[in-house]
Amino acid sequence: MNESPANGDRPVPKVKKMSKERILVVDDDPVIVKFVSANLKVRGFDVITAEDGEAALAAMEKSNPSIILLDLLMPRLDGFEVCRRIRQFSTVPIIVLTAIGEASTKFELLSMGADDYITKPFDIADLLTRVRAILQARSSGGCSARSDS
Amino acid sequence: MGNHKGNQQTRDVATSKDSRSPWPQSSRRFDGNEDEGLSFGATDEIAGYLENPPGVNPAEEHPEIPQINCIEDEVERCRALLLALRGIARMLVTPSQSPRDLSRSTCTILIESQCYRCAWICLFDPSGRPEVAAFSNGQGMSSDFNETDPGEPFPCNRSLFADPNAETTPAAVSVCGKCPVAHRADGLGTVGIRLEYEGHVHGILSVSIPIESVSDEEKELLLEIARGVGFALHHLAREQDHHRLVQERTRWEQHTAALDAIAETIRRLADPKDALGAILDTIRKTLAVKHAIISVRDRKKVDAPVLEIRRELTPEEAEAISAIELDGRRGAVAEPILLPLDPNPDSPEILPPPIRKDLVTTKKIRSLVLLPLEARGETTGRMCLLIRADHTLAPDETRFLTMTGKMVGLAFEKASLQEIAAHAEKMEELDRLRTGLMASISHELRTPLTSIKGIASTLVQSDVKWDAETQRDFLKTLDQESDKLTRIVSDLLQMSQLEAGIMRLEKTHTTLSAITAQLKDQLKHLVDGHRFEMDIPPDLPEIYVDEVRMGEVIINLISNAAAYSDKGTRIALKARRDGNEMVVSVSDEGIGIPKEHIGKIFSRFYRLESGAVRRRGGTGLGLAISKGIVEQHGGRIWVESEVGRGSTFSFTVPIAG
Repeated sequence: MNESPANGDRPVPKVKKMSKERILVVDDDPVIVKFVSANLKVRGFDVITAEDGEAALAAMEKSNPSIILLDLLMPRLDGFEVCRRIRQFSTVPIIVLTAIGEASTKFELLSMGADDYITKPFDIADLLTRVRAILQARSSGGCSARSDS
Repeated sequence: MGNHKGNQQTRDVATSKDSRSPWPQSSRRFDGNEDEGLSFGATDEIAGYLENPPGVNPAEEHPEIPQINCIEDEVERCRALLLALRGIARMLVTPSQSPRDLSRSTCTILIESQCYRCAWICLFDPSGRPEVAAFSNGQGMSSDFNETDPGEPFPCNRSLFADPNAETTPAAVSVCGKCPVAHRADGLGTVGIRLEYEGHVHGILSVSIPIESVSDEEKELLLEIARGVGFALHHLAREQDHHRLVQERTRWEQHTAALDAIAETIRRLADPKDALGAILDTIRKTLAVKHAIISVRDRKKVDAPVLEIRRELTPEEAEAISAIELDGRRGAVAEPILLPLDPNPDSPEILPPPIRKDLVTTKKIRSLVLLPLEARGETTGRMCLLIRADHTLAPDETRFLTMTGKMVGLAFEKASLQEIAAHAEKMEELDRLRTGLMASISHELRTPLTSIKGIASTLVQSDVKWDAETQRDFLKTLDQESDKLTRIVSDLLQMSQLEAGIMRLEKTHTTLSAITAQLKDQLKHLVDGHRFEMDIPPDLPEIYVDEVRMGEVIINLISNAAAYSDKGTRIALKARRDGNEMVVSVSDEGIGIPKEHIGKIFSRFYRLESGAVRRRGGTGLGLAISKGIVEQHGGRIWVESEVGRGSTFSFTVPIAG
């Protein structure tokens, strides 16, 4: 998709020299996967998707994404387990994207190593902002923590 | 016998007296006379001393004829008295008489043996209260004297009873002027003797007698009779005491056992109706009462009893008894109230005349015992025992009733506390369920909302321009997700109607084939890609159902089958008759349901974890709603399944007619 400059009235942080960062979108609801992917692709991200926890771990191994958008309630392997397993071998940023609004769940996920937590329903601008913020922080702070290369 | 004086002299006189003799005449007069072996001493001896009272020698001091006549008269009386004494002694050894009968017999013998024209005994009750219990008749009692209801004891008798130091020798007591003997004018007076034993006075024996001419011997004989009767009365009282004690003890044991049983009933039975029934039967058995009722009323709804247990009573009788007004008749708390069923038509009516008449004449009921039942200080009901004419309640039985009344009150209290506790528990459970349900609903609503919000906010972003085709695709998804939201909301509504029991079924006589015919297009769409088989025999009987709701159940089951099985596999809809039911089943060759899920899949929002249903647009309520609809039609729904092989959902529908 084409990379277009931010010219709207909504403040979308602009990321310079957007390389093709790869984002893994994990959700069992195909509609969510569809519009989140479309939004990311149109803004120049490389998107891979998974519809459950096991597929997510497989995609993670295969594609080495720069960031993971992770749903929690999924068949086969839930988001909690996926997060826990990924943290055993990777520090890849994880943004939890879930309908569970409880503070306790949020705290649990953040203490398990998730980087951010977004409650459904969400504004796509909010998601994009957080994705960009995390990527920017990572690129400016270096990639010393990364161990997945 | 008191007098042993003058043995020698007596013998002499007796011998001389035999020859000139009123005695043979007298002896012929009395039947009791024949038994010479009786132990009151030799006739001649007593007769002798009677003829010669101490200090009086008729031959020496009173030689005149009238004096002799007088003496002969005394002797005659003494002889008669002696015979009476024998008769009385014989009578006294007759077992098991009542004190009243014993008194009556004593007086009768005294009169019939022609000792006295008039004799009576006034009995006192064992506690010492002057309770006049028995009088004997006799000629010469005043005309206003009523033997069956003598009223207050005469002052002479009362004073004799009251004064333990009073002479035990016969005392002239006719001075009060209230003596029931009518013939004082004939020169007769009244003599009273206490019937006592070991200092305990049981009654007073009074005889009408020519007081002036009473000899010491006659007095002695009277005293002897009084002692004998006193002893017999004492013995009877002891016997009665003993008998009463034994009876009371037996009853006490029965009452204790009954109270135990009632307490156990209250502890064990949770259902108030069962418990009260068992308690009432225990009471009936213990008190030997046939007809009884317990009715419980709600304080707010006074018109009809909330609970009624009646035994051997018609509903009309029960109602009339429950309606008896207790105000003004109430004694202490839980004290039984005795209401006599007076046959006198002037007495105030406590029951409608026809019911009262039936109770009195047919059921031979004499009185009602009403016991108010109280719980937490308020009268909540009443127990009523109907007492038959041949039955009385002893004081200890009344006490027993009072106790049971209190226990029944406790039972109520326990029941109401249990009710409160159960209610609280239920509310808690409901609250928990509601919280869980709210979380589920909110989650279910969030899913389509997330898509709608996400897509809408995507389209609002101005940093990118979407091509027309993508835009249309987004809008189409928005449309679908809104539909899904609508479906969830309407399913929720349906679910809540089912749960509140307010879902209206519009039942008609129809057939399963008719229903599936109407679903044809929907079914075709649902099973698109599967091999669909339908086996509904044309000769199946009619069913009486809401066609639309039944159709929903079938659609729900088939869409589940399609969602959980691969394309190309078989889905079968079958129906068959089984007794009075029709069994409809939907089978698939899908993933099947693991055992641990089988119990839960009919719950709201319970899903096998798979995205497949979501892609199909399931709301997570389909099976719960299907179950509700089937059950509201009077049927059952269940599933048989094997993981990897497939599932068969079946439900029953009662056959019309």
